[in-house]
Parts: sequence; C-alpha cells; structure tokens
Amino acid sequence: MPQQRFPKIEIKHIAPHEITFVLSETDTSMANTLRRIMIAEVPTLAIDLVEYHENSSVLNDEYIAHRLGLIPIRYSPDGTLKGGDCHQAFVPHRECVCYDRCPRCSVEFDLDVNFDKVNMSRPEQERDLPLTVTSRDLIANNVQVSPAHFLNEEEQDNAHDEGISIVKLGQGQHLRLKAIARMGISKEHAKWCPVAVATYRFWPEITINQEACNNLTMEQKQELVDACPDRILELDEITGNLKPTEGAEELATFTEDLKYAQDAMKRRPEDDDYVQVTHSTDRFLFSVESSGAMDAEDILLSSLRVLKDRLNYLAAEVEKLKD
Amino acid sequence: MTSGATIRPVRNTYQSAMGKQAIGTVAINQYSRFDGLLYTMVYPHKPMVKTRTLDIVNFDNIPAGQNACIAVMAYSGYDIEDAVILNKASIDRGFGRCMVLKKQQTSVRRYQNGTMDRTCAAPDPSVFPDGVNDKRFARFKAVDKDGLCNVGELLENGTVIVNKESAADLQVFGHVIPFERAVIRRQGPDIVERERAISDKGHDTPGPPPRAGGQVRVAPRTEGGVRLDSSPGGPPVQRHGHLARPHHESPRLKLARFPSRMTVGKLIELLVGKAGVFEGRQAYASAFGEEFGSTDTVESAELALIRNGLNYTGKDVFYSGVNGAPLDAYIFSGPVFYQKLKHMVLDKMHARSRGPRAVLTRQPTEGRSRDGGLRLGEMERDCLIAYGASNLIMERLMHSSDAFSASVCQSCGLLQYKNWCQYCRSGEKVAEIRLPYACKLLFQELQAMNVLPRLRLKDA
Repeated sequence: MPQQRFPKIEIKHIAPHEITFVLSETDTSMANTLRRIMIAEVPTLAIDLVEYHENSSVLNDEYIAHRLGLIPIRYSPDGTLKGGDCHQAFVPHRECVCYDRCPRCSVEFDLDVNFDKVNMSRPEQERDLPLTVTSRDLIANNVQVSPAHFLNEEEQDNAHDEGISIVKLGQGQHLRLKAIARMGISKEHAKWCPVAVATYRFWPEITINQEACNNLTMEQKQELVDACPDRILELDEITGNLKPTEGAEELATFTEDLKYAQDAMKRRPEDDDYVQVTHSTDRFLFSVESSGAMDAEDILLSSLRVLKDRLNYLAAEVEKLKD
Repeated sequence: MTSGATIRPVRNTYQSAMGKQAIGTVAINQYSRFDGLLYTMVYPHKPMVKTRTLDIVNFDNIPAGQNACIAVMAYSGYDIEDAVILNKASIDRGFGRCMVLKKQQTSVRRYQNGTMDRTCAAPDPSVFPDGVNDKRFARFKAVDKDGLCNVGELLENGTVIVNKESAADLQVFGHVIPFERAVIRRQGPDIVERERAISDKGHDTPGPPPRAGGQVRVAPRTEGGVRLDSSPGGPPVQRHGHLARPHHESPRLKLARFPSRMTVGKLIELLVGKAGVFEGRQAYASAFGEEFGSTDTVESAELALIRNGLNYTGKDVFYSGVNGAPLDAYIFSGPVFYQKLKHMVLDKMHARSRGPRAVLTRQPTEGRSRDGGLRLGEMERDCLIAYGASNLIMERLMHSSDAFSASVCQSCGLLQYKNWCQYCRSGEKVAEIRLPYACKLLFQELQAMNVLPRLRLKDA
C-alpha cells in the first residue's frame, strides 16, 4: 500500500467517565470517522420495551417509558466495576434466534414502588413527602447489568436523589413495571448513545518568526502577548524573545485578535507574520465524555472495533465483487 | 411578551395571536380537566430570556415552549425560507414532545316513551360466527362490564369505547322495544387516559343529558411538518423541514429569515440568551428596558460573552458533521425560545380519489372530516377557461363530480323520464344527455317555483 500511515493515539488525560487524547498522523476524515462512530455506532444497552402492571403515578405510561429509555445502562463484565463493551455479551435482538426475547438478547428490569409500603420505613422528617422513584429501584435479572446512577463520586455527592429520578409518587400511588433492555446503536435512537460529548479540534501549530520579531520593540512584543485572549504567548525573561506558553496547544482557540494586533504593527501589509497559529492537518485533540453507560476508554476501543469490523466487511464484499 | 424591541411592530401583533396557539402548559390542573382537545408539552422550559410581561403572568411556572440552540446558517438546502433542520438526537431525547388528550363521548338520555339509553358489557362471543376469534368481537376488547372502556387500554382503529344501546323505536309507547347497538368507535391507535362514568343526576333535571365517554391520549413524536415559532416577533412560520438529521451529522438547528422580517428582537434574544447561559441566569429583555433596571442590553451581553471567553458577536466556529472539516464562516448561534404550534400536518393532511357524495347534489362531500373532495373553485375554473383546456373543465366539473344522464324532449325542451315525454305524450323526439346533477336539480327547483326552463338541443 503506497503512503501507508500509522495513526497514533497519545492519551492526555484519562478517567472512567472522560478521556482526552491526541490522534496524530492521519486525516480529518479518520478523525471524523472516529467521532461519528463514537456518537452513533458503539453498541450499548438501553431500555427498549416497558410492560406496565400498575401505574397510578402522575405521569402517564409513555412519559415514564421515555424517561426509562434514557437511563444509561451499564454492563460490567464479571469481576470488574467498569462499564464495559457489551458487544460480545449480547446479541442484537433482531439477529437473535429466540422467538420473543431471551437472556442472550435482553435484560429484564423489575421496578415495584408502592408509596404506602415504603412510607412506613422512611425517616420521620421525610414521611408523607413525595417519594422519588429513581434508577436505584430498577432491579436487573442479570448481575452484570445495572443502571448507571452517577458518572462519578463528585456527581453523586452533589445529587439530591439516590440515582436518576424517574417519577415522584404521592400517597396511594403505585408504580410496578417490567422494563426490557436491549442492545442497540444510537443511529436508531439517541438513548443508545454512549457519549455525552465526543468532539475533536485541530491541533494548533504555533510558529514564531524570530527574524521578523527582532524588529519589534519590547513594548510591541508585550502588546502581542496581551493581545491574545487565550494567553498562548509569553516573553522569555532571559532572551526577551516571544515563545509559546506551556500547554499553549490546549489553550489556543484560533482567535483573530493576534492577527489584527500584528497587522497593525507591520510596516507594510505584505510583511511576514510575527506569529502564526494554523490548523494542523494531521493532529487532532479529542475530548470524549461518557454518558455513564460505558467507560470512556471502552468507548474508544469499541469505536475502533466497529470501524475495523466495517472495513473488514467492506473488504469481503469487494472480494466478492471481484469474483 | 416579545423580548426586545422589534423594528416592525406587526411582528409583535403576529406573535400576540400566535402565542395562544403554542403547545405548553395549559393550566396547573390540566390533567384533572376534561377538555375536548388538549395539547400539552412533555418537557416545557422556562424561557432563557424573559420580559416583564412574562413575569407578571407567571410564564415561568406554566411555560409554553422550549429553548433551542440554533445556528443561523444554510445547511443541506432542506432549510430554505422558514424550514429548520432538527437534530434527531434532540427529538429522541424529548425536544418538542407533546401529548394530545381528546375527549370522546356520547349522551345517555331518557326518551319521551320512557325508554332510556344504556351502556352494557361486551356481547357474548357466541353471538359471532367465529366466537372469541371473531374480528367483530375483538372490537369490544377495551370494554368493561359497565360498557365503558378501561383506563390504559390500547384503542385500534374501530375499537369500541362505549357500548351503548338505545331503543330501536323511540315513538312507540308501552311495548317491550328491542334495543339497538350504538357504539362509539375510535380511529387510530390511541390509549385511554381516563374514563368518564355516567352521572345519575340530570336524567330528570333540565340541562344537557349525562354523558359517558373517555379521554384518549395520543403521544405523537415531533416529525416533519410540525409548525414551530420563535416568540420575539420572530418569523411567523417556522415549518421545520421533513428532515431530521442524525446527531452525528448535525451542526445544530436551523436557518432563519432575518433580513426580510427585520426582527432585530430575535437577534438580541439570541445574544442576550447566550450570555445568560454562560452567566448561569435567565436574561431579562423587556422591550423598553428600564434605564436603571436589570434589563440586559446588547452591550451588556457582549461584555458577558467576552468575560466567558466567547466572541462578542455571538458567532462560533462550527465543524461540518458530515466530513469533519471546519465550516468556512463563523456561525451565529445561541438559544432561542421556540414554541410548538398546535398545527400538525398529521392532523391536516388529506386527499381522496373516490369517496362519499352529498345526498342532495350528488357532489363530493366537503371537508377532511367527511373524507371530502378538494374543490376546483371559480378562480381555478377561470384559469382553465383562459388556457382553453375545455376537456379538463368537463372532467373536473362534471365527470369527476356529479355527472348525470337525463332524457330531454326535443320538442318541448323539458326533462323527462326514460325515453317518453309525458308532456308531448310521445317517445319520438326524446334524447339522452349528460349534465351535472346540480344542473338538473336547479331546473327542478325552478319548476317548483313556477319558472319553466326549457332545453334547446343541438347536434354537437
């Protein structure tokens, strides 16, 4: 293959719910492919069917079903606590051989909250206040699957409720239902989207023309430093030269302020720029935040897997065409 | 109501009329009410930009719209004029989701002859040829022992809501009169929200007879052809196009017509709202801002945007969702309060080829509710005459409408029956012609008024 390239990923920051990394030595098309797959084609679990046995809450069935659907469902393989890739563990329900549904293609959740029953066991000060039904009340029939109540501990500490609130119950109200979660992709419905944010931006390339800069006075250099709202420039204390600040690449937002400031300093408009900030064509700064259904790391790995599967499929079909 | 002064006051007038059609929260007791037709929004927002009027009417507590992040740009061509492109993921997550409650009812009354309507349980399946599996029996699946449908039941097209029976003959007295079934049926797959029992009072008291029925719930999804409107004297028609772009391809929402409408208020709302988002508060934009009050101005919004590291003009860099390249222009974007109007194509679309006809004129019925035809009116007829399309006129006005074969006597010129002129006492010169039934009706009505129209026939 001519001009084959080997894209690299360099992780800048990683946490269970978010990841920032630099993708390099590839094109915009690859970066965008990765982004699109993460948003639309990484399979996750989400509640897809709801059977109501009793619903005397203030919200109607569809309303609650919609809310249930949007709860991120986490699959943690045995012995781990992380939100893993459910691709191997489940079969898409349309491809499953079972008649209606089976444990291979679905997970059942039971929810049964009766205000009057729960009310007696609540602490004195809370008694008779509306009771919030949350994602904690969803009991799965599969130990590896559970709703993702919170993204991280910080979110949990700040929350008012135990989990993701579904509906509030008052006296005499009862909600009993069975919810069936299935594997799907967010091309079909956004509830299967594993990411809250998946964006990239071009890596900024900051080039300082030292030769041209030598014609500037210290005041003018300081003016350039101050002109940039992103603070990507600073003056070297020893040499007095302009240099990019540490981590400037992450700060730069390609503002035009710097351009206007230096244009004003030039003797002739066609003079060389003192500082140039341009889009790199082969380096991308990604930022991915999970919805809670999967760990950010697994979303990235899963998206690469999806891409690989698709390319293999394409290759196989092309081979068939050749024959 | 509208935020910020608009250059054209008519836009304020338009919005004053349109705000009433917005789907939102009707009243705090909306789910206890038994309205004939009620539209409610599932997740209404309080507007990002409020005004003094909205404060006075407590709009924040009963809002009627949602804040949408819009990007003012051309994208894909499906957003020409007032159309917008929505992000499909937003719709999935509940943007513009609304609920329609419809009342279906019938009266249960007492008649002069002492009989009374009654509601009763579904008939025994043995009445039907196929028993329990009979389609005609399946229609009664929603009906309870009291003859009314159960709450939470799914109603398909033709499902019985109330199984009512009334006396077959209301004139006869003193006999045992057989009862006939008069059911209330429902079109379309809906769900019963509430049932309404028959109240006992009113049988002998004046006033409307007691009623039985149910309230039916429909939850349509926002799709193409829903009418949206932005409030600040904005474009009156925001018909969002028939496309919802998938999330991974959407920049965000829409293109709007600013220049021709001169709705500066909307631009200001967007800017002020965007500043509000980043400052974490609702912006305040009464039209004639109090000089010493808290009204946000363009200038204060710009300062707020700069404070939060944004461009003060409200423009941002956008990337194409399709190929991932940055767009060539900076895009003006921010939150705007959108109202969903209760005009939905699904409720309005209509077409017919053949269908019911009116009894008197034999012309096609009028109106969607009666599966009526679409009128080719005088002006349309004039166009065809001017164009000289005489055969098309013939087809539209007669053959496709109320063509009628009649016998005309050529000697007396009167309409006759079946090749025999009763006036001339002969069948010799009777001819067969085709004419609109309405025309024949007119002649007969004139005759009834002592005006005698005669037809003079010529060979064509």
